[in-house]
Amino acid sequence: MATLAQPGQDTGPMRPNIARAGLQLPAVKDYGQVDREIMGTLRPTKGWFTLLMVAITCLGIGATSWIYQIHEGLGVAGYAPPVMWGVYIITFVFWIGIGHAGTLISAILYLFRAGFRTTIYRCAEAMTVFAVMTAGLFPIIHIGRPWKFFWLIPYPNWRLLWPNFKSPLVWDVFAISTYLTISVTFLFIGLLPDIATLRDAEKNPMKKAILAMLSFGWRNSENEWRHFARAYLFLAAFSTPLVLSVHSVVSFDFSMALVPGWHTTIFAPYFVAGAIFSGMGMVFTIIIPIRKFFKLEHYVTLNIMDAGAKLTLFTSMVVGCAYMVEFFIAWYGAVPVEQDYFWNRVFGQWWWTAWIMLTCNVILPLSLFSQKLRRNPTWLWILSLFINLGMWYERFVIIVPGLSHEFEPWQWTGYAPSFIDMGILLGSFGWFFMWFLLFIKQLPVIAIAEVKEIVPPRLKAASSHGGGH
Amino acid sequence: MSTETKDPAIADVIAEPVRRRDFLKVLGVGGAAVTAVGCYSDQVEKLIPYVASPDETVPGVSTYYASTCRECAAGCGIIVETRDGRAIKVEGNPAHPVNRGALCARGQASLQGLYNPDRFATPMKRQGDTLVATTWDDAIATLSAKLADAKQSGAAKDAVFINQHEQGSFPAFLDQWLAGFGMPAHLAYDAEAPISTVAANRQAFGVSWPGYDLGAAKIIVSFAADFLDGWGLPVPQQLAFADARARIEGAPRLVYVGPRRSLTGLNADTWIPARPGTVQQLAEAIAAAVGGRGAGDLKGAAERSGVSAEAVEALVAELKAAKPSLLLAGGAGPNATALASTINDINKALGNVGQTIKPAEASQAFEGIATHAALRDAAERMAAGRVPVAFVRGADPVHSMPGGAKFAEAFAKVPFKVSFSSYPDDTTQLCDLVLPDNHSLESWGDAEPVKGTLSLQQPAMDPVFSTRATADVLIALAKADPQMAGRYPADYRGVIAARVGGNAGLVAALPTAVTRGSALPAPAPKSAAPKGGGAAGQGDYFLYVYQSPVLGDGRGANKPWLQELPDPVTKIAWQTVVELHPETARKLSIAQGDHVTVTTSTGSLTAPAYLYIGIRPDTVAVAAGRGHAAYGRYARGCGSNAMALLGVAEDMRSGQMVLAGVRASIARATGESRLVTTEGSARQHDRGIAQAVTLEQFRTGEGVEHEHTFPGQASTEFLPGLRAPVANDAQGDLGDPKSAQKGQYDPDHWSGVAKRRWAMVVDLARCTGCSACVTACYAENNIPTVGAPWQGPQLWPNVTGHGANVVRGREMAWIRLERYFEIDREPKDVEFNAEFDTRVIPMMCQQCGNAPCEPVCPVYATYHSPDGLNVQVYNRCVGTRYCSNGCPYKVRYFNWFGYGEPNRAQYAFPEPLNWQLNPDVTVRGKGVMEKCTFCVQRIREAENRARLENREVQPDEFTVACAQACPSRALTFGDAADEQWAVARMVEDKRAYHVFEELNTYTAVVYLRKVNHPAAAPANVAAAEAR
Amino acid sequence: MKRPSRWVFVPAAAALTLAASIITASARAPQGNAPAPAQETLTQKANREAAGKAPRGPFAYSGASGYTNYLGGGVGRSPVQPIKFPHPVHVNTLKLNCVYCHFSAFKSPDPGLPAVSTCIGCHQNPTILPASPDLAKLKDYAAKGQPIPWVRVHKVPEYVHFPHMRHVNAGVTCQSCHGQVNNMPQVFQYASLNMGWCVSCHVKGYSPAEGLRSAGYTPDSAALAAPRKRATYDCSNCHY
Repeated sequence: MATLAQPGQDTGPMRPNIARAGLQLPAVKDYGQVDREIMGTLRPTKGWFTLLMVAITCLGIGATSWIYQIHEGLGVAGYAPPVMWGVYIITFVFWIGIGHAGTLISAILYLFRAGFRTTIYRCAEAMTVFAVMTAGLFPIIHIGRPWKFFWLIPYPNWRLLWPNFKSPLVWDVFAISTYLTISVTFLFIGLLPDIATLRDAEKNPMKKAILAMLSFGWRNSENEWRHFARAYLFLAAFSTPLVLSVHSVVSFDFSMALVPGWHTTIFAPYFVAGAIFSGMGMVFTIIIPIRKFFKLEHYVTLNIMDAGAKLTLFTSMVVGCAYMVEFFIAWYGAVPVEQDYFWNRVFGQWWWTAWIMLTCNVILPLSLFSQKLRRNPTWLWILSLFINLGMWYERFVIIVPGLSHEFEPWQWTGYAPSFIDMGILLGSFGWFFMWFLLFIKQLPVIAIAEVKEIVPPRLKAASSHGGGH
Repeated sequence: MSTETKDPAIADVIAEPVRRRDFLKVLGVGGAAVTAVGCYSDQVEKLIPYVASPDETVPGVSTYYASTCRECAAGCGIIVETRDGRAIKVEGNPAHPVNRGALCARGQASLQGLYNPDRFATPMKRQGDTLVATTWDDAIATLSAKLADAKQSGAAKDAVFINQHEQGSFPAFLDQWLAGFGMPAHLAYDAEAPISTVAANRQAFGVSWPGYDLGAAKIIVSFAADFLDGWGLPVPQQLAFADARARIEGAPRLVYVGPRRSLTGLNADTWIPARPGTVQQLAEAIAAAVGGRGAGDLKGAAERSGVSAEAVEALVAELKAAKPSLLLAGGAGPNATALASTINDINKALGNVGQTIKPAEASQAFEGIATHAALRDAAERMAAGRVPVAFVRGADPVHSMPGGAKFAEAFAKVPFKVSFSSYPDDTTQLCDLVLPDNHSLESWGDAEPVKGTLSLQQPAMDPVFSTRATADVLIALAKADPQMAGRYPADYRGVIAARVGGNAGLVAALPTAVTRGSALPAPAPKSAAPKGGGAAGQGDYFLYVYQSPVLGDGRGANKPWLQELPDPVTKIAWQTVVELHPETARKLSIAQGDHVTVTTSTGSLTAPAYLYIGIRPDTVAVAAGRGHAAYGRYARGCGSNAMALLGVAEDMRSGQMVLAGVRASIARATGESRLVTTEGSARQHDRGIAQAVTLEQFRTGEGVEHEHTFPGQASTEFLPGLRAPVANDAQGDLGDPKSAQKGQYDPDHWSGVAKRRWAMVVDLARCTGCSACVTACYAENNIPTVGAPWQGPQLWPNVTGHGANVVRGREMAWIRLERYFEIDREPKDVEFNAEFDTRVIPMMCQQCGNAPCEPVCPVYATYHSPDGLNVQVYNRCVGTRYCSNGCPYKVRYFNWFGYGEPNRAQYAFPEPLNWQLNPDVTVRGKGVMEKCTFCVQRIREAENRARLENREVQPDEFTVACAQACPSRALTFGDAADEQWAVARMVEDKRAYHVFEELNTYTAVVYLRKVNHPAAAPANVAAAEAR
Repeated sequence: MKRPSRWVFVPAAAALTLAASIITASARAPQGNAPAPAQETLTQKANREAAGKAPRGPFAYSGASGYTNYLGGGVGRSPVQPIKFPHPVHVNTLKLNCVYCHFSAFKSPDPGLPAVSTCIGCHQNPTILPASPDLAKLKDYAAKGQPIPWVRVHKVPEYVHFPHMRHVNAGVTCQSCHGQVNNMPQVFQYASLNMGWCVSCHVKGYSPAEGLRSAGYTPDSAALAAPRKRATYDCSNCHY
């Protein structure tokens, strides 16, 4: 183990400087234990394999539905004009939202030196990447002629035509591709030292070869650590604004249109807050089973849960506030169409969706004021499921009622998703979890190197000045 | 485009000699007809030249033939546009005295009769219980033999020939022929015809249909005379009415008396909802009051018919004051003829005859029409087995006769039944021999709409199938008979030519198809002793059956355009509904869409309920026209047949079948279905979409200035036409008009494109909501119909079947008629109240100068053209549907399925319907957005023509399809930037407004407010008495 | 300590090979000549042969031209015609004007094709090449009263509306778009007919001099002096 990570001097930005004081892992004694326990999670198990199969089955259902839809036409989905956007856009926004917590935790909290991120950020960052991968599919599933999707990408062509750079959908193309690129890079850079660790522990030559390539031949030298730290810091700083920009751009898809309930200025912050909220929900949904089944309770401690729950509570209240502001503006703006729309949203045609949304996103999270519940993984997990549901419905409530109850009373209508919509929705979860499950068995779900930084190394343990000052 | 053909078909037809168009027949698609967007093909395509090129046609350029419409008895003049030998559009003939260039939806849809995929392709002969194809020689030989021995045996004298009533020479020609074979004269049957009115008119004026001058009247009172729904001569009546109403000052007030507000009723300023069966006494009383013959006191009559006495008194007062007036009587009640006579008396008493009723200008439309009693009588003779041989042509009595007449059973008893029908309709299904007739667009004929004026009918194309004009078949049969052979020319064309002074005269007359001359005099009308018993039967409700304004007596049901066209009143398509008043529904705890069973002494019918506030609570209405047992893929099994509810009951004085006033009971049945309707909310919610002013306000100017729907919005000053800022780049940016680099968007640019701003004015004072524009648009722009059962999504049991797509709001009509009721309550909780104003407004793409749809399209599929069009480039569209979200008017339509792609279940143009496709318009493939483009193909064609003749486009040189068709002349299209165009002047009208002005979309469509003419003394019909 | 960095090259090499193979695969043009079926109609034969003329691309462009999955939008595609009609003889030798046969090119969007009767107009004269098998075919068609199923060469997609008369009357030489058909023993597709090709001329403008050159004439001074003829390039000129 001597070749393993040797934290450098703690001066300047030389190395990922996580405030050690922020976090205690009393149950983690030394590097050896870290390696043993975290690498131990990589062994495939029956349970894991079963879950993987379930995910792949869902993906299969989704794929079949999509192929059928491409062949028959979008009519097989539940669209009822003028509700021309439905489950696909809802789900698109949903997944993009999920993606945000990851970057928040891994980048923003890193810059803020929030120690509790250390043991959950890898998980969150991976979630981000896979969520964005999932979201990216939906604009293509949504459009009428998916095979022409590339027309949205600006490239020189014999038609001498560019896309319309004024269209928010073109902005989306840029926003999402940027976000995906940065997230992947950030995840990968963070992984380098761990991959190296795995590489050295690996016996199978083929795997070793792959890991070797992935680790870019990381040899744990001072220089590498210095560059690593720089790169890490830089990427963190680079992806931080993306957390804010990406979902703002997504929100412009709506606020740029005339639709009542869409055409409002608070959408950008409102969407960002919602995104982080939903992301935290998904983080809990994922991390709690992991810490349980991987026996990592002493890494992802209740303190960490507590801190995450607080963040969730905060974002939930921001979102709740945004809801209230919407209603206030509708009332204060005194635009009859807006007022009609919001009335119809809460007490009319769509009351049930609105109340699902309010219950799951505003009312239930209030329970987190109780420390007991904040430190109760079971409750947090159940709550996180409600949050996911609530956030999906939030997007439903934004998109569908607006379109179904527009300016032209003659064109007022209803909307009911079809089996195909639902199949593709299911498929998206299958797709997401397939990648995630594959990930957690190939690469450490907790950042080994960063944990080691907050664990007093054996050799240091002997000496007088201990783990941190 | 040259005519292209896919390869494999060549191999099939190359064998035997074929003319060019026969290639197209085999291949079906030619020119732009195959153009599914983005469907690229590497198939090697064929260029098929003519064998010998006809002199007059230029490939790719339309040829026009003037002819006569045969969809109803009126005999309107039409211009048939043909391209490469196929009729692709039917328009009104401006030179024609009857319709002056306008044409109704049914006339437009005649094309789908011509190209109907279910037409007989060959003669058919019965073998066992199926009809099998045979040859013409065989068919004619068979019939000829039959005729011969019928003539010998003398059985011929009992033969029955039922012909769809038409005006012109054919009826007389047919009777001569029948006489030649010793057969009695034929029965000219028309289920729609207002027999009772005709009878009363003959009695009063000596003519069947005097000229009604709606324009000259100061007040029009319609006693269930639905002159805007197809009663009488629909198009000319509508033209006259719209012209009169457009005068605004001195325009006639319209009062409607009847149990149900039809389209005519909805256009009325006052509705007097008289109880069925009592209108006659009411009329008598009014007659007495205005000093005509007749007795009865106003109050009592008003009591009995459940309307307020004040209303009736006010009406009488008005009638006395406002002269001349015009009273019309229609309806099909048990004593409709008595009513009509009384009304004629009132007209005489008020001195309207000669003023608004002009016997001198009588129409020939209903000359020689047989009474329904005569047909029922024939049916009885058949049932009695006294009819050896029966012929039927055009008419479909099995479907359109009352169920009580048991026509099918009777007809089945005839040993030998011959049909000349072109379609497998319910009657033809029973026949032993079918000699399919040519469609009217394929055959010769004539009509004499006005005495002394002959309107010719000429074939616009060769027959689509192996059919033959019945007249020619008759001649062929006659030639076989030695005594008759001499009497006939070679073919029916000769007979027509004889009417206009020989071949030369015919050739000279054909360019306009209107000439001096007269048809063979119509034979005397057939009649038989009527059977009474109209108001018989049990039940707490009155049944009110009416002929559908769209499908007529059902002959329109095999045309998808008409099936898909929402009924102008109920907005229901592809479905039969039972119309109930919400009050009644609440009493019986029936909700919209719940199944309801209507039962009469004759039969019962179960259909979903439609809650209609324009019907008396004690009346239940069902439209006829649907519920065919056969009649092709579009008609079969769609809806149910209201005639099944009716027993044998005729007006004792005219022999008109009784449709209204029959007693019925209704009950909630199990189950419910979603209404196939295009109606969202029928209330405007104060959004000022269809605006109106009263005559008072119009005079004083109050309430005419712009209604600020949303307070606190930006400038909503009214800026019609070019005075509105127009987009100066493709994204619809307003930008700085003086900015450089605007290219063609610069009015000073060399191309001069930006100098024009195409715009449209819609005069709501004219629009009646008849929806002819919708069908015209379908025909011009290759719009698919989406309501057929196999076109819908198949995955939800609850939304499959007829109209499944329409149920989901996926109809594609680029122009739709919105019908709003000005009554503040939603339908479910409406007390009966006769006083509500109805607003109809055609809603099409508004071609915004500052369009919300343009900036959001990621690929410029929709963008702003320099000449002010809101262009949709189908082949560029990727289908994000963002534009539709942006559009506040919701006038963008998406191809959810491959409606335009052959070899798909959802293909909307099965062979040969696709022959009708307009080669100048791309047929859209699945996954792209489409919308009204102001018929840009017509704009480009006009520009090309102008350039070809080296000139500028002249003011009002051309117009768009909807405006061309409009029988109310409510739509005007043109260049608002050039004051020489009519539209540029009209946008200045003080009634002008934009819909949703406050959104600053600066639309190019300008609406002129409707003007209401309320009664001087408000005729408040009290709800209490109505029940 | 062992240097694992060399492992980096293994997968890199693999990737390169893969890429190379894809490129070569896509560049390779399969021959479209399917084996001839037992009895083959004239047109089937023509199609089969036509199908092989131009290299088939690895994937289809949308809308480059009617024949979209030929690389280059079908340039050089030269199907065999049911009758070997020699344009050179008729145009160069007999000096027939294009619009003698393509009679509506100047008055219709559709240039028009000669009716069989037009051909027979001259070719009923038995002294013209009595031995020619193609003339025999022609007379056969005429006798049978069948049109000649010419194989289409130049095609724009159906969603493009191309008015021939606007171009012809503007003085655009036929050869500018169709090439010197008068020198083609068998007509082939001359231009790509894709949108960029159209638009470039609409924007740049049409030069009479160039037009004449492409037609094989030497432009006179007037033509040389003449300014470029520009045309509007609004999408809805052609797409509706």
